[in-house]
Amino acid sequence: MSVEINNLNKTIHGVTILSNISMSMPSGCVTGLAGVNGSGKTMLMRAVAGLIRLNSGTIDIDGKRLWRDISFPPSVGVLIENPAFLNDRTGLENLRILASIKDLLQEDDLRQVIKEVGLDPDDKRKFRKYSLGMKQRLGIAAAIMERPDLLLLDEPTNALDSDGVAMFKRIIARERERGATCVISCHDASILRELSDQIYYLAEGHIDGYEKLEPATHLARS
Amino acid sequence: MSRFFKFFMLDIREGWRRSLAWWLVAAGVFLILPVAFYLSTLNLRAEGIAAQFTLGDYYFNLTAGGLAYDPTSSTPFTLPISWFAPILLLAYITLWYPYHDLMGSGKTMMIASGSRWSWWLAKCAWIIVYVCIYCLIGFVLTTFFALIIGCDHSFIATDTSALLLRFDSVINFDVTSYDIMSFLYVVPVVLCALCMLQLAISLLFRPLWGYVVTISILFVSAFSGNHFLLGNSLMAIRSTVYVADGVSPLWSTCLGLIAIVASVVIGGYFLTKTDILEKEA
Repeated sequence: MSVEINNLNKTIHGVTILSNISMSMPSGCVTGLAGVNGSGKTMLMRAVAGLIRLNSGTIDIDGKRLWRDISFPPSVGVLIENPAFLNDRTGLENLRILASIKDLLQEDDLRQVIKEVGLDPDDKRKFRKYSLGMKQRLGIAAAIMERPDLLLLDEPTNALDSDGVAMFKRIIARERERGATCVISCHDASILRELSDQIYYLAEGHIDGYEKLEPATHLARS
Repeated sequence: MSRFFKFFMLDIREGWRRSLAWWLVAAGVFLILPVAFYLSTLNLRAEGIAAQFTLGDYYFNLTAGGLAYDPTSSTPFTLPISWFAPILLLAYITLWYPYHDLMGSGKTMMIASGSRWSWWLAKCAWIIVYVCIYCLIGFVLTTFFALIIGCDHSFIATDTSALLLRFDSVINFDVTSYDIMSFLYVVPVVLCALCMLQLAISLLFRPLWGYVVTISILFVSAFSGNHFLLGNSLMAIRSTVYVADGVSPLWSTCLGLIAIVASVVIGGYFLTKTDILEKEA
């Protein structure tokens, strides 16, 4: 699934959040978004996810224009800011509820994806009892569970320990192999450089730099 | 359509889980109100006024409301708390779940479903179900209590209850059971309208703003008898069933349905155009 963003502008309450953003995310490519807090990474994710309207500019997903042809990307997994789940449900129950909308997955698939992110599908603890790292892992599981064509992951390594970061890198490498288009924002440039095919640097809502990573520097491929 | 039903079933289940404590409060309120009415009838008997009260008296007590402010009258305006409180409680029960859902997992599910409308229509349907359950709880508990204490089975309120509620000078009790039913069926329709209006405002702006609008509508309705104010359609004492210049059930139904359709269409339209961002409540 390819994503083409052209001259995207977004203003909220008179404050420019995104300014003249244009970028291309080819199918099967891992795109990194780097920048300090408030640089617009999360808003850009929200825009691509279809959660916020654009003041001007376009977002085309596989040739279909967001807000004109489609309301949301047709096959997308999202983790934007804090993982959003029902507090009084277990991890497995939460995934079951999310999966019920599309009804693509069996119970075994859900259990498998929970194991994949290092959680226990039989854990009876409610989501509210989860640690931050566990919440983040469940958020990653929810984003990848339906094997979407587009993955939008905003600060996915937040609160993850070193095992969690390694797990995340493995997942992204596999998703990339599968042909999923991944967009990852992260303030840790080393992780982005390890995982991404290209990195856009954002500052104060506009693109401040671009880096196409050579295969030799791409540690995830080695 | 299947996405709508999936959202709807989830809303019924999750909304119920999150608001269970408030439903218990609602049940308590619907028990306290008839008990309070019964105690006031005892006072009346102590004053030597003997009367057989009916089911209709208990329904009337629950839905009566109050007289509008009249600058020519020497009687001061009184806010009808026993009418006001149960409606505000219903508005509160239906206030938070849609907003929290949109700010939480509902957002992810909305993206997965590919449709904002499915999510929105499910919330509207959820409101209708909750209002019906609320009215049913009120009706059943009031009936249960009234029958337990041995009141007459008639739906017609007696003039003694009007005396008790101090409406004896304005009210016409020459009504039939059909008239009473024609008013009672209006109540859930208008409550749906009120709650959906609140839903639209709370999602497009903030939940507290939605609640403030609901309180304002009810308060202004209690103060003024203007037929366009939704609250007037919820008061028996302002209905043509009991007073000549009241709001007719047909008018109330039309007003309620227009408000429901407007809230669904306008709220849904703006939801499809609005940014889904976390806002302060």
